[in-house]
Amino acid sequence: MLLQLKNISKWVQSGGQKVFLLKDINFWVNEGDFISIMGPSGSGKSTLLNIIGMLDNANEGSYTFLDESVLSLKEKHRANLYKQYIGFVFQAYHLIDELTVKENLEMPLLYKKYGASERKALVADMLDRFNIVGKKDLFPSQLSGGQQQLVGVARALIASPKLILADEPTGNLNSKQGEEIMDIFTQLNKEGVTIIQVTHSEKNMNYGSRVINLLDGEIV
Amino acid sequence: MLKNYIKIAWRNLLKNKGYSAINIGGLAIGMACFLMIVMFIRDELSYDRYHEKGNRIYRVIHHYDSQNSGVNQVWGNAPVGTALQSDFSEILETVQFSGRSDILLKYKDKVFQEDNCFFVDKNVFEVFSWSLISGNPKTALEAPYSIVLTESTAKKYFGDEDPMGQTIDGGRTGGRAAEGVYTVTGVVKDIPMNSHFTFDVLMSMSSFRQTRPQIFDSWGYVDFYTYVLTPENFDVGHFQSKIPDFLEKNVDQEGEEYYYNITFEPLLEAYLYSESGRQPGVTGSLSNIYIFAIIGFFILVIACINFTNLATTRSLERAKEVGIRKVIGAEKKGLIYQFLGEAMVMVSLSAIIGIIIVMLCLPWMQEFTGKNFVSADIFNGLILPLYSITMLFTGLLSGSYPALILSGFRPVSVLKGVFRTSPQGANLRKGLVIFQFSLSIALIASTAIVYFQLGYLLNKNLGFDQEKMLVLDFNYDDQVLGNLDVIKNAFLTHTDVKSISASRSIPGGYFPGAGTEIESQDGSMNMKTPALFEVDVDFIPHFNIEMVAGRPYSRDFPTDTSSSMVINEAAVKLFGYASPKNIIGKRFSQWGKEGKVIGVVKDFNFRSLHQKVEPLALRLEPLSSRYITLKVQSKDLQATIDKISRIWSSIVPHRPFLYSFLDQSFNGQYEADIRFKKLFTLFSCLAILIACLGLLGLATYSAVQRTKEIGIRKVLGAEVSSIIRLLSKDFIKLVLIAIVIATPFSWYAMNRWLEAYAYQVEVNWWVFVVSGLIALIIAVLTISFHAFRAANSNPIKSLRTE
Repeated sequence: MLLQLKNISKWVQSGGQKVFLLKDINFWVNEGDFISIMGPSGSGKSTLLNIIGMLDNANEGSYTFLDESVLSLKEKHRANLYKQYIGFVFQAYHLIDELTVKENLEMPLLYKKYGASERKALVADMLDRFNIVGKKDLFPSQLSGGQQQLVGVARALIASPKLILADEPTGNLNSKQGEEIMDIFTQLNKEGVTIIQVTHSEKNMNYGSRVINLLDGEIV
Repeated sequence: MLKNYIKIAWRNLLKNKGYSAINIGGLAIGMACFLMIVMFIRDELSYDRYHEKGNRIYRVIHHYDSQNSGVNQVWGNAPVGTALQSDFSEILETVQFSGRSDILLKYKDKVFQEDNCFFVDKNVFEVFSWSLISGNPKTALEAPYSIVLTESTAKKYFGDEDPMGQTIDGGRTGGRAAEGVYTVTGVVKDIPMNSHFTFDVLMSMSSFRQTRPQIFDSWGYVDFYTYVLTPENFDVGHFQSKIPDFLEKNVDQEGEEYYYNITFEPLLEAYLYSESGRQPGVTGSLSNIYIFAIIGFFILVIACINFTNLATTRSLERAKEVGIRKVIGAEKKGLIYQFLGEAMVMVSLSAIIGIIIVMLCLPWMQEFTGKNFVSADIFNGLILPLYSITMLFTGLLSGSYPALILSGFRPVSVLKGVFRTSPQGANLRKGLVIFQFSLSIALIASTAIVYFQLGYLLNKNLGFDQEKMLVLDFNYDDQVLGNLDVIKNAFLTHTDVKSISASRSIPGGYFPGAGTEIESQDGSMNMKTPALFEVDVDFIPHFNIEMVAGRPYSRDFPTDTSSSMVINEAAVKLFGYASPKNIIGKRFSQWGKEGKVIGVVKDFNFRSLHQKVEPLALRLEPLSSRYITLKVQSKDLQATIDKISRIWSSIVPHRPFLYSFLDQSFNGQYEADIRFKKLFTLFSCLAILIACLGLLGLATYSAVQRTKEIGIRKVLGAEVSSIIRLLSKDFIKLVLIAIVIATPFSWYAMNRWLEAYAYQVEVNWWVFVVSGLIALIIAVLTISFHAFRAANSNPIKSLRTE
């Protein structure tokens, strides 16, 4: 088992009342899973993904990731954990505008203190694998959305994480570009990477092996 | 990683050129100001430090104390030097300068009046580190009629000839310098600007001794500056305790009007710290140093605040990057380093540009400060290290807040595009703006007051006519004095010359003091030492000086030449009379003359307005004159001067025609004040400019932050003007608060500054209101620029997200 959520709840205080964003969520993920989280706007999909990605904390419940109890970890330790095992892909790509494709890819490695030659090899590898060698010196604004998302995925993968968290990865793309990205995810999944995606689209959902449906913060 | 940071920093810099220019430019100006001020202060502090034995040299300060008043001055008698030398083994050397003297020097066809010369003891070069280019430092000034010239003076007379051993004809026609043929025995390098006094010519004291032997034994004759060389570890406090016995032994103080005492002042404190009168050169002002240090610091602070505010402003645009970095694995610490590093890069760039600005401004700076700066001075001594430390500190100070803010962003919210800026942050920014504007308003108000005071100095009615007064300096020339009436009449035949007078002193120039006895109300004689102007019979009407009692000197009373005296109102008080009328007809005795007081003139400012009008006696003694003043009235002043010059040359062919205008030479006393005004204004303007840059940044920030609000308001029908009002309102409130803070602060500071003047302008409350208004107008203009742009933008754009 890669991770397990038990009785996870998250709320905000509004006018003296608790407004639940997530309520009593229980589920687990095995290594090699491809899970789709579905639900209408405001149902808590992104919040759940953020909690899994350790970018956000739950108010209640327990979260175990590779036998570590995440919620009781210190900030720094937790950061190390997700740095090592988790890669993120965003709907809006979130590349750094001031860096070229190559430099964007390199950045996670810098934070993980890889050596220069190793970084160079890994970046070259990724550029190759995603067929973007020709684009390596371009800035994000010079790329199409699909190409930007390719870079986003490549960046998430570069440090070989166990888990990829994708928040509507195709939301800003046209259907052809979307299919390309989803194909890549399928391929990765076959290679053993665990993927959790948040999605609106039934079509994308079908790429996954398991579906979690959320409504008003609860699994239905 | 570092490369990555620098790359990002650099690309951000280029991407936002306007912002970078404002930020770096503002800080560069601030750093440049700071550097200039540091250089200025360093120069002020460097005075006389080039003397190798400087820390062992002291000078004698002479005190003349009476019951209710006292003066202390650097200028004193001669015998104190010899007595100190012979009585104390601690006094290794004594060097006395007599002067400042003036002498007419003639070499072949070159004739110049040298005003900047001293008679000096032969050991001068063993005590002071003035290096001789040629000549033997031990003997150059030994023999009578030896003369040492500075390099540029030597050039003036001899050009490319070798000056050594040449003879110069000196003082042939009177004046106080010894008359004779002087032999050039040395050429000294030009005296460094950072000396508490300078000279062009030195003559051997032995020459002076030949013409005036008696004054070298007179404890009452004041004409000498006395410097002593002491051993290492000299304890001046201990030495001072021996002085009462020394004076007891050497000076007969019985029955003297004043009690005479001496103290010792270190040479290294002569320029900045001395409070004694009759200085041999221009002294510096410690308070000006403090003022400039404070301004320099303020400018730097304002620039830092700007930097911080602008960087914080920009943090919005960097938020996404922070979010991504955090998600990818950046730690907070790493991000702090990154943004601090970026601040450092900006600050370093500013610092370098600052140095370039200073280098480009050097020639101009010279004009402002009257000091000679070269670019090498920037890299001199502690200046560069100090600059670098300041740079580091500025970077840390101004970079840390934005770094903390940025690194604290939560990735989940910034990546969603939701910002919640904390109210504390907003308050801090408001506080910084208030602080900046308080400083700016205080500086505007202070500048205004400095202007008013200087205007007052230059325009106040001084109690005598100072305009259109042509002053001819003939330096007591006996051939002129012998023909004074002839010369005066020759000038008066010229229609442009309205009146004429000869005198030893003119307002704003040198005057002696004179021991004077005047009969007191109980009939006894009362001894005081008022200032003395020796004048001719026309002086009082010529200068249009008002009489308050009695009559001026007159040709109708032949006895005036031998037995009359006119004094001023301050002297009336000094001698214990309440009303000027009562002193008329009282007996007086002064410098061998006896008679009656015949008139009292209204106090006129014969010294600068830094000082109160002192007691003054106007003595009728035309044959002691040094100057002739002519009141001229003409349409073509230059033509008149040419004509007067021709008359002069026909009567006094041996003497150069040296003229000046009284108002100009009198106002020359305010040179330092005017320089202060210029510098102060310059730095205030820069401070305000930098503060405005900061405000511009903040206005941008607030406009960006409220883009959505503005969009909604516009969609709902708000007009441009109401949106500008909305955006300006907040800042105007801050500026108003700043006015309230700045007013008492600068009111107090400026009153302290004005204390240096005996005559001051009044500090009016409206100065502060107007200063505040100026700041407000500048602020509104700055803000409206941005508010206008925000208000005019298309609301659809701002409301569309993603």
